[in-house]
Amino acid sequence: MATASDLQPACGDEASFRTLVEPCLGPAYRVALLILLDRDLARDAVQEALLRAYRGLGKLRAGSNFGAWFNRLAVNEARRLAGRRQRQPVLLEQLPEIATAPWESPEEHLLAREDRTRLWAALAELDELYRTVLVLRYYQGLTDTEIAEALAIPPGTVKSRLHAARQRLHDRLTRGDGAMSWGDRLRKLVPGRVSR
Amino acid sequence: MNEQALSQELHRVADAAPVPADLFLPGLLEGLGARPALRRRRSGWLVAAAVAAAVLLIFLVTPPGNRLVSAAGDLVLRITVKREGTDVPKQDYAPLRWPLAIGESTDQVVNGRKMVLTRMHRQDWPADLPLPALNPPGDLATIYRQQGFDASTGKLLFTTWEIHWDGFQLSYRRYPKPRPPETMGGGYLVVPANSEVQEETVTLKGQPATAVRAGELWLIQWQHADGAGLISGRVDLDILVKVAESLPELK
Repeated sequence: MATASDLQPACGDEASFRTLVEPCLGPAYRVALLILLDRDLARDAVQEALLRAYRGLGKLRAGSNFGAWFNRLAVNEARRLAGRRQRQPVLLEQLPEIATAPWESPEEHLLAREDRTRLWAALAELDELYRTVLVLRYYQGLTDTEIAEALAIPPGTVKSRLHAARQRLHDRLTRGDGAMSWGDRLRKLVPGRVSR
Repeated sequence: MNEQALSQELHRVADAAPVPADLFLPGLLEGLGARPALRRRRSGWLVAAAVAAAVLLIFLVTPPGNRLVSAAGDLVLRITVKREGTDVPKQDYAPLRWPLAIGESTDQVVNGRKMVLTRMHRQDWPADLPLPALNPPGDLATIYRQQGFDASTGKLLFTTWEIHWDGFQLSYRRYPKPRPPETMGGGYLVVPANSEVQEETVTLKGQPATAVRAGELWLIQWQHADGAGLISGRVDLDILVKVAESLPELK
Protein backbone atom coordinates (compact mmCIF):
# COMPACT_ATOMS: atom_id res chain seq x y z
CA MET A 1 0.00 0.00 0.00
CA ALA A 2 1.40 3.37 -0.92
CA THR A 3 2.01 5.83 1.89
CA ALA A 4 2.67 9.54 1.94
CA SER A 5 6.40 8.85 1.77
CA ASP A 6 5.79 7.68 -1.82
CA LEU A 7 3.96 10.83 -2.69
CA GLN A 8 6.64 13.38 -3.22
CA PRO A 9 7.60 12.26 -6.73
CA ALA A 10 3.96 12.28 -7.73
CA CYS A 11 3.45 15.98 -6.99
CA GLY A 12 3.35 17.82 -10.30
CA ASP A 13 4.17 14.70 -12.31
CA GLU A 14 1.22 12.98 -13.99
CA ALA A 15 3.11 9.77 -14.77
CA SER A 16 4.27 9.26 -11.17
CA PHE A 17 0.84 10.13 -9.87
CA ARG A 18 -0.71 7.61 -12.20
CA THR A 19 1.60 4.87 -10.90
CA LEU A 20 0.59 5.73 -7.37
CA VAL A 21 -3.13 5.97 -7.92
CA GLU A 22 -3.77 3.27 -10.49
CA PRO A 23 -4.12 0.37 -7.98
CA CYS A 24 -6.78 2.39 -6.15
CA LEU A 25 -8.97 3.07 -9.19
CA GLY A 26 -10.74 -0.28 -9.42
CA PRO A 27 -11.72 -0.48 -5.73
CA ALA A 28 -12.79 3.17 -5.75
CA TYR A 29 -14.89 2.65 -8.88
CA ARG A 30 -16.63 -0.36 -7.37
CA VAL A 31 -17.52 1.34 -4.11
CA ALA A 32 -18.76 4.38 -6.04
CA LEU A 33 -20.80 2.04 -8.23
CA LEU A 34 -22.51 0.52 -5.21
CA ILE A 35 -23.29 3.92 -3.72
CA LEU A 36 -24.52 5.43 -6.95
CA LEU A 37 -25.85 2.29 -8.70
CA ASP A 38 -24.91 3.98 -11.96
CA ARG A 39 -21.79 3.20 -13.97
CA ASP A 40 -21.50 6.59 -15.67
CA LEU A 41 -21.82 8.47 -12.40
CA ALA A 42 -19.37 6.09 -10.70
CA ARG A 43 -16.82 6.92 -13.37
CA ASP A 44 -17.42 10.63 -12.83
CA ALA A 45 -16.97 10.19 -9.09
CA VAL A 46 -13.61 8.47 -9.52
CA GLN A 47 -12.40 11.08 -11.97
CA GLU A 48 -13.40 13.86 -9.62
CA ALA A 49 -11.61 12.04 -6.81
CA LEU A 50 -8.54 11.86 -9.05
CA LEU A 51 -8.50 15.60 -9.50
CA ARG A 52 -8.97 16.20 -5.79
CA ALA A 53 -6.26 13.71 -4.93
CA TYR A 54 -3.81 15.38 -7.29
CA ARG A 55 -4.56 18.77 -5.84
CA GLY A 56 -4.49 17.57 -2.24
CA LEU A 57 -1.39 15.38 -2.30
CA GLY A 58 0.72 18.02 -0.65
CA LYS A 59 -1.63 18.17 2.35
CA LEU A 60 -1.44 14.45 3.09
CA ARG A 61 0.53 13.73 6.23
CA ALA A 62 3.68 11.60 6.04
CA GLY A 63 2.87 7.95 6.72
CA SER A 64 -0.78 8.35 5.74
CA ASN A 65 -2.41 5.51 3.86
CA PHE A 66 -2.89 6.82 0.34
CA GLY A 67 -5.36 4.08 -0.61
CA ALA A 68 -7.64 4.79 2.34
CA TRP A 69 -7.43 8.51 1.66
CA PHE A 70 -8.30 8.04 -2.01
CA ASN A 71 -11.17 5.74 -1.05
CA ARG A 72 -12.54 8.50 1.20
CA LEU A 73 -12.33 10.98 -1.66
CA ALA A 74 -14.19 8.61 -3.99
CA VAL A 75 -16.89 7.88 -1.39
CA ASN A 76 -17.43 11.57 -0.76
CA GLU A 77 -17.56 12.36 -4.48
CA ALA A 78 -20.06 9.54 -4.98
CA ARG A 79 -22.22 10.94 -2.18
CA ARG A 80 -22.00 14.43 -3.65
CA LEU A 81 -23.04 13.17 -7.09
CA ALA A 82 -25.83 11.10 -5.55
CA GLY A 83 -27.24 14.26 -4.04
CA ARG A 84 -27.19 16.05 -7.38
CA ARG A 85 -28.35 13.30 -9.70
CA GLN A 86 -31.48 13.80 -11.69
CA ARG A 87 -32.06 10.27 -12.96
CA GLN A 88 -32.89 7.10 -11.11
CA PRO A 89 -30.23 4.46 -10.38
CA VAL A 90 -29.78 2.29 -13.44
CA LEU A 91 -27.72 -0.61 -12.11
CA LEU A 92 -30.82 -2.78 -11.94
CA GLU A 93 -30.74 -3.00 -15.71
CA GLN A 94 -27.09 -4.02 -15.59
CA LEU A 95 -27.09 -6.77 -12.95
CA PRO A 96 -24.89 -9.67 -14.01
CA GLU A 97 -26.65 -12.92 -14.75
CA ILE A 98 -26.37 -15.46 -11.96
CA ALA A 99 -25.01 -18.89 -12.67
CA THR A 100 -27.36 -21.65 -11.66
CA ALA A 101 -26.14 -23.57 -8.64
CA PRO A 102 -26.04 -27.34 -9.24
CA TRP A 103 -28.65 -27.92 -6.54
CA GLU A 104 -31.08 -25.36 -7.92
CA SER A 105 -34.04 -26.28 -10.05
CA PRO A 106 -34.93 -23.81 -12.82
CA GLU A 107 -37.80 -22.62 -10.63
CA GLU A 108 -35.47 -22.03 -7.70
CA HIS A 109 -33.07 -20.19 -9.97
CA LEU A 110 -35.85 -17.94 -11.18
CA LEU A 111 -36.95 -17.26 -7.62
CA ALA A 112 -33.40 -16.41 -6.58
CA ARG A 113 -33.12 -14.06 -9.51
CA GLU A 114 -36.36 -12.34 -8.59
CA ASP A 115 -35.20 -12.03 -5.00
CA ARG A 116 -31.92 -10.50 -6.08
CA THR A 117 -33.74 -8.03 -8.26
CA ARG A 118 -35.96 -7.20 -5.31
CA LEU A 119 -32.94 -6.70 -3.05
CA TRP A 120 -31.29 -4.33 -5.50
CA ALA A 121 -34.54 -2.45 -5.95
CA ALA A 122 -34.72 -2.09 -2.17
CA LEU A 123 -31.12 -0.87 -2.04
CA ALA A 124 -31.85 1.62 -4.81
CA GLU A 125 -34.81 2.97 -2.86
CA LEU A 126 -32.68 3.63 0.20
CA ASP A 127 -31.46 7.13 0.79
CA GLU A 128 -27.80 7.45 -0.26
CA LEU A 129 -27.03 8.19 3.40
CA TYR A 130 -28.04 4.68 4.39
CA ARG A 131 -26.81 2.89 1.26
CA THR A 132 -23.34 4.35 1.83
CA VAL A 133 -22.96 2.94 5.36
CA LEU A 134 -24.21 -0.45 4.19
CA VAL A 135 -21.66 -0.47 1.37
CA LEU A 136 -18.81 0.59 3.63
CA ARG A 137 -19.68 -2.07 6.21
CA TYR A 138 -20.82 -5.01 4.09
CA TYR A 139 -18.77 -4.48 0.93
CA GLN A 140 -15.62 -2.87 2.21
CA GLY A 141 -15.78 -4.48 5.66
CA LEU A 142 -14.92 -1.26 7.47
CA THR A 143 -15.30 -0.96 11.23
CA ASP A 144 -17.48 1.69 12.86
CA THR A 145 -14.37 3.78 13.51
CA GLU A 146 -13.19 3.50 9.91
CA ILE A 147 -16.62 4.40 8.58
CA ALA A 148 -16.71 7.35 10.95
CA GLU A 149 -13.37 8.56 9.57
CA ALA A 150 -14.44 8.05 5.98
CA LEU A 151 -17.65 9.99 6.41
CA ALA A 152 -16.35 12.48 8.98
CA ILE A 153 -19.10 11.64 11.46
CA PRO A 154 -18.94 10.39 15.10
CA PRO A 155 -18.81 6.59 15.63
CA GLY A 156 -22.09 6.78 17.53
CA THR A 157 -23.76 8.22 14.44
CA VAL A 158 -22.36 5.34 12.40
CA LYS A 159 -24.02 2.84 14.74
CA SER A 160 -27.39 4.55 14.62
CA ARG A 161 -27.17 5.05 10.86
CA LEU A 162 -26.31 1.39 10.29
CA HIS A 163 -29.21 0.33 12.48
CA ALA A 164 -31.58 2.59 10.60
CA ALA A 165 -30.23 1.39 7.24
CA ARG A 166 -30.79 -2.27 8.13
CA GLN A 167 -34.27 -1.48 9.39
CA ARG A 168 -35.20 0.40 6.23
CA LEU A 169 -33.84 -2.36 4.03
CA HIS A 170 -35.81 -4.87 6.07
CA ASP A 171 -38.98 -2.82 5.68
CA ARG A 172 -38.59 -2.66 1.93
CA LEU A 173 -37.78 -6.33 1.53
CA THR A 174 -40.73 -7.48 3.60
CA ARG A 175 -43.23 -4.98 2.26
CA GLY A 176 -46.27 -6.99 1.14
CA ASP A 177 -44.51 -10.22 2.06
CA GLY A 178 -44.66 -10.34 5.81
CA ALA A 179 -44.10 -14.08 6.07
CA MET A 180 -40.46 -13.96 5.02
CA SER A 181 -37.83 -12.12 7.02
CA TRP A 182 -35.13 -10.19 5.18
CA GLY A 183 -32.64 -12.66 6.56
CA ASP A 184 -34.54 -15.56 5.03
CA ARG A 185 -34.85 -13.68 1.78
CA LEU A 186 -31.14 -12.97 1.74
CA ARG A 187 -30.33 -16.56 2.61
CA LYS A 188 -32.19 -17.62 -0.51
CA LEU A 189 -29.80 -15.52 -2.55
CA VAL A 190 -26.74 -17.50 -1.54
CA PRO A 191 -28.00 -21.00 -0.78
CA GLY A 192 -25.64 -23.29 1.08
CA ARG A 193 -23.21 -20.54 1.95
CA VAL A 194 -25.10 -18.79 4.71
CA SER A 195 -24.66 -20.00 8.26
CA ARG A 196 -27.84 -20.15 10.22
CA MET B 1 -26.01 -14.27 9.42
CA ASN B 2 -28.07 -12.19 7.03
CA GLU B 3 -25.29 -9.58 6.99
CA GLN B 4 -23.02 -12.17 5.42
CA ALA B 5 -25.53 -12.79 2.67
CA LEU B 6 -25.80 -9.08 1.98
CA SER B 7 -22.02 -8.83 1.86
CA GLN B 8 -21.80 -11.71 -0.61
CA GLU B 9 -24.41 -10.19 -2.88
CA LEU B 10 -22.68 -6.80 -2.87
CA HIS B 11 -19.38 -8.51 -3.74
CA ARG B 12 -21.01 -10.66 -6.40
CA VAL B 13 -22.31 -7.65 -8.28
CA ALA B 14 -19.54 -5.12 -7.65
CA ASP B 15 -16.65 -7.50 -8.21
CA ALA B 16 -18.17 -8.67 -11.49
CA ALA B 17 -18.57 -5.11 -12.77
CA PRO B 18 -15.94 -4.28 -15.37
CA VAL B 19 -13.79 -1.32 -14.38
CA PRO B 20 -13.59 1.19 -17.25
CA ALA B 21 -10.15 1.24 -18.82
CA ASP B 22 -10.19 5.00 -19.28
CA LEU B 23 -10.69 6.11 -15.68
CA PHE B 24 -7.34 7.82 -15.82
CA LEU B 25 -7.83 9.90 -18.95
CA PRO B 26 -4.66 10.99 -20.67
CA GLY B 27 -4.39 14.69 -20.00
CA LEU B 28 -7.04 14.52 -17.28
CA LEU B 29 -4.72 16.37 -14.96
CA GLU B 30 -3.38 18.61 -17.66
CA GLY B 31 -3.40 22.12 -16.36
CA LEU B 32 -3.10 21.16 -12.72
CA GLY B 33 0.64 20.81 -12.68
CA ALA B 34 2.85 23.83 -12.56
CA ARG B 35 4.44 24.88 -15.83
CA PRO B 36 5.06 28.53 -15.08
CA ALA B 37 6.79 29.24 -18.36
CA LEU B 38 3.67 28.50 -20.29
CA ARG B 39 0.72 29.12 -18.04
CA ARG B 40 -0.37 29.89 -14.55
CA ARG B 41 -1.64 27.27 -12.17
CA ARG B 42 -5.33 26.66 -12.60
CA SER B 43 -7.93 24.14 -11.58
CA GLY B 44 -8.55 21.36 -14.10
CA TRP B 45 -12.05 20.69 -15.29
CA LEU B 46 -13.43 23.96 -14.03
CA VAL B 47 -11.10 25.77 -16.36
CA ALA B 48 -11.80 23.35 -19.16
CA ALA B 49 -15.51 23.91 -18.71
CA ALA B 50 -14.97 27.65 -18.62
CA VAL B 51 -13.06 27.50 -21.89
CA ALA B 52 -15.82 25.44 -23.45
CA ALA B 53 -18.39 27.91 -22.17
CA ALA B 54 -16.49 30.84 -23.63
CA VAL B 55 -16.43 29.19 -27.03
CA LEU B 56 -20.07 28.31 -26.70
CA LEU B 57 -20.93 31.87 -25.89
CA ILE B 58 -18.95 33.51 -28.55
CA PHE B 59 -20.77 31.59 -31.23
CA LEU B 60 -24.21 31.93 -29.78
CA VAL B 61 -25.05 35.24 -31.34
CA THR B 62 -23.57 36.24 -34.63
CA PRO B 63 -25.39 39.35 -35.82
CA PRO B 64 -24.40 40.94 -39.12
CA GLY B 65 -22.81 44.36 -39.20
CA ASN B 66 -20.14 43.43 -36.76
CA ARG B 67 -17.35 42.48 -39.06
CA LEU B 68 -13.99 44.12 -39.30
CA VAL B 69 -13.35 44.69 -43.01
CA SER B 70 -9.77 44.21 -44.01
CA ALA B 71 -8.07 45.30 -47.20
CA ALA B 72 -8.20 41.75 -48.49
CA GLY B 73 -11.85 41.17 -47.67
CA ASP B 74 -13.95 39.99 -44.81
CA LEU B 75 -11.44 37.65 -43.33
CA VAL B 76 -11.50 38.87 -39.82
CA LEU B 77 -14.37 39.02 -37.40
CA ARG B 78 -14.75 41.50 -34.65
CA ILE B 79 -15.49 40.17 -31.21
CA THR B 80 -17.83 42.34 -29.18
CA VAL B 81 -17.73 41.94 -25.45
CA LYS B 82 -21.04 41.97 -23.61
CA ARG B 83 -21.31 41.91 -19.87
CA GLU B 84 -23.84 39.81 -18.07
CA GLY B 85 -26.35 41.86 -16.13
CA THR B 86 -25.41 45.03 -18.03
CA ASP B 87 -25.45 44.38 -21.78
CA VAL B 88 -27.28 41.05 -21.71
CA PRO B 89 -29.42 39.29 -19.11
CA LYS B 90 -27.62 37.00 -16.72
CA GLN B 91 -27.14 33.64 -18.40
CA ASP B 92 -28.43 30.49 -16.82
CA TYR B 93 -26.51 27.45 -17.92
CA ALA B 94 -26.97 23.88 -16.85
CA PRO B 95 -23.63 22.36 -15.82
CA LEU B 96 -21.86 20.30 -18.44
CA ARG B 97 -20.70 16.82 -17.58
CA TRP B 98 -16.95 16.99 -17.40
CA PRO B 99 -14.55 15.42 -18.08
CA LEU B 100 -15.87 13.18 -20.83
CA ALA B 101 -14.51 9.82 -21.86
CA ILE B 102 -14.01 9.21 -25.55
CA GLY B 103 -17.39 8.67 -27.15
CA GLU B 104 -19.34 10.27 -24.29
CA SER B 105 -21.60 13.28 -24.74
CA THR B 106 -23.03 16.03 -22.61
CA ASP B 107 -25.63 18.58 -23.59
CA GLN B 108 -27.34 21.73 -22.47
CA VAL B 109 -30.03 24.01 -23.85
CA VAL B 110 -29.13 27.67 -24.10
CA ASN B 111 -31.28 30.35 -25.69
CA GLY B 112 -33.37 27.79 -27.55
CA ARG B 113 -30.39 25.89 -28.86
CA LYS B 114 -29.45 22.42 -27.75
CA MET B 115 -25.68 22.11 -27.61
CA VAL B 116 -24.32 18.57 -27.66
CA LEU B 117 -20.64 18.16 -26.84
CA THR B 118 -19.04 14.79 -27.62
CA ARG B 119 -15.48 13.71 -26.97
CA MET B 120 -14.15 12.16 -30.17
CA HIS B 121 -11.29 9.95 -31.24
CA ARG B 122 -8.30 11.78 -32.60
CA GLN B 123 -8.73 10.09 -35.98
CA ASP B 124 -12.21 11.60 -36.28
CA TRP B 125 -10.79 15.10 -36.81
CA PRO B 126 -11.81 16.24 -40.32
CA ALA B 127 -8.91 15.83 -42.71
CA ASP B 128 -9.45 19.23 -44.31
CA LEU B 129 -9.19 21.26 -41.09
CA PRO B 130 -5.71 22.43 -40.14
CA LEU B 131 -4.15 21.23 -36.93
CA PRO B 132 -1.51 23.02 -34.91
CA ALA B 133 1.99 21.63 -34.62
CA LEU B 134 1.79 19.86 -31.28
CA ASN B 135 4.79 19.38 -29.07
CA PRO B 136 4.83 16.61 -28.04
CA PRO B 137 2.71 15.65 -31.02
CA GLY B 138 -0.71 14.42 -30.27
CA ASP B 139 -0.95 12.37 -27.15
CA LEU B 140 -2.24 14.99 -24.75
CA ALA B 141 -4.61 16.56 -27.23
CA THR B 142 -8.31 15.94 -26.79
CA ILE B 143 -10.87 16.31 -29.54
CA TYR B 144 -14.46 17.42 -29.14
CA ARG B 145 -17.33 17.85 -31.55
CA GLN B 146 -20.01 20.28 -30.60
CA GLN B 147 -23.29 20.28 -32.47
CA GLY B 148 -25.92 22.95 -32.11
CA PHE B 149 -29.54 22.11 -32.78
CA ASP B 150 -32.69 24.16 -32.83
CA ALA B 151 -34.21 22.90 -29.58
CA SER B 152 -37.75 23.00 -30.93
CA THR B 153 -37.28 21.52 -34.40
CA GLY B 154 -34.15 19.42 -33.88
CA LYS B 155 -32.58 20.96 -36.98
CA LEU B 156 -28.78 20.95 -37.05
CA LEU B 157 -27.55 24.54 -37.02
CA PHE B 158 -23.78 24.06 -36.93
CA THR B 159 -20.97 21.68 -36.09
CA THR B 160 -17.87 22.80 -34.25
CA TRP B 161 -14.66 20.78 -34.04
CA GLU B 162 -12.40 21.56 -31.10
CA ILE B 163 -8.95 20.44 -30.17
CA HIS B 164 -7.61 21.13 -26.68
CA TRP B 165 -3.92 20.78 -25.95
CA ASP B 166 -1.55 22.09 -23.34
CA GLY B 167 -3.79 24.95 -22.28
CA PHE B 168 -4.77 25.96 -25.81
CA GLN B 169 -8.02 25.43 -27.60
CA LEU B 170 -8.64 25.66 -31.32
CA SER B 171 -12.06 25.31 -32.83
CA TYR B 172 -13.65 25.47 -36.24
CA ARG B 173 -17.32 26.00 -36.75
CA ARG B 174 -19.10 24.87 -39.87
CA TYR B 175 -22.59 25.72 -40.98
CA PRO B 176 -24.88 23.78 -43.28
CA LYS B 177 -24.61 24.90 -46.89
CA PRO B 178 -25.68 27.36 -48.08
CA ARG B 179 -24.28 29.23 -45.12
CA PRO B 180 -27.02 31.26 -43.41
CA PRO B 181 -26.34 35.00 -43.85
CA GLU B 182 -26.93 35.70 -40.17
CA THR B 183 -23.81 33.71 -39.34
CA MET B 184 -21.53 35.94 -41.38
CA GLY B 185 -21.01 38.63 -38.78
CA GLY B 186 -18.75 38.77 -35.80
CA GLY B 187 -19.46 37.17 -32.49
CA TYR B 188 -20.36 38.30 -29.03
CA LEU B 189 -18.35 37.20 -26.06
CA VAL B 190 -20.51 37.26 -22.95
CA VAL B 191 -18.50 37.65 -19.78
CA PRO B 192 -19.47 37.96 -16.12
CA ALA B 193 -20.16 41.52 -15.03
CA ASN B 194 -16.96 41.91 -13.04
CA SER B 195 -14.59 40.28 -15.57
CA GLU B 196 -11.49 42.13 -16.53
CA VAL B 197 -11.53 42.48 -20.32
CA GLN B 198 -8.90 43.78 -22.72
CA GLU B 199 -9.06 44.19 -26.50
CA GLU B 200 -6.10 44.31 -28.84
CA THR B 201 -5.63 44.35 -32.58
CA VAL B 202 -3.11 41.80 -33.82
CA THR B 203 -1.85 40.77 -37.23
CA LEU B 204 -2.73 37.24 -38.18
CA LYS B 205 -1.50 35.93 -41.51
CA GLY B 206 -1.07 39.50 -42.67
CA GLN B 207 -4.58 40.49 -41.66
CA PRO B 208 -5.69 42.53 -38.67
CA ALA B 209 -7.62 40.51 -36.14
CA THR B 210 -9.35 41.39 -32.94
CA ALA B 211 -8.14 39.63 -29.87
CA VAL B 212 -10.04 39.74 -26.61
CA ARG B 213 -8.79 38.81 -23.19
CA ALA B 214 -11.33 37.73 -20.58
CA GLY B 215 -9.62 36.98 -17.29
CA GLU B 216 -6.56 34.91 -18.16
CA LEU B 217 -7.98 33.72 -21.47
CA TRP B 218 -7.09 35.29 -24.79
CA LEU B 219 -9.31 34.62 -27.81
CA ILE B 220 -8.81 35.37 -31.49
CA GLN B 221 -11.51 34.64 -34.04
CA TRP B 222 -11.46 34.63 -37.80
CA GLN B 223 -13.68 33.56 -40.64
CA HIS B 224 -13.12 30.87 -43.24
CA ALA B 225 -14.98 29.84 -46.34
CA ASP B 226 -17.80 27.93 -44.69
CA GLY B 227 -17.53 28.83 -41.06
CA ALA B 228 -15.47 30.52 -38.40
CA GLY B 229 -12.29 29.72 -36.53
CA LEU B 230 -11.40 30.54 -32.97
CA ILE B 231 -8.25 30.02 -31.02
CA SER B 232 -7.85 30.62 -27.34
CA GLY B 233 -5.25 30.02 -24.70
CA ARG B 234 -4.26 31.02 -21.21
CA VAL B 235 -0.97 32.40 -22.41
CA ASP B 236 0.47 35.74 -23.39
CA LEU B 237 -1.11 37.12 -26.54
CA ASP B 238 2.10 36.98 -28.56
CA ILE B 239 2.37 33.25 -27.87
CA LEU B 240 -1.22 32.71 -28.97
CA VAL B 241 -0.61 34.64 -32.18
CA LYS B 242 2.46 32.50 -32.90
CA VAL B 243 0.44 29.34 -32.44
CA ALA B 244 -2.29 30.68 -34.73
CA GLU B 245 0.32 31.70 -37.29
CA SER B 246 1.72 28.18 -37.25
CA LEU B 247 -1.54 26.76 -38.55
CA PRO B 248 -1.42 25.57 -42.14
CA GLU B 249 -3.60 27.56 -44.49
CA LEU B 250 -7.18 26.46 -44.79
CA LYS B 251 -7.80 24.49 -47.93
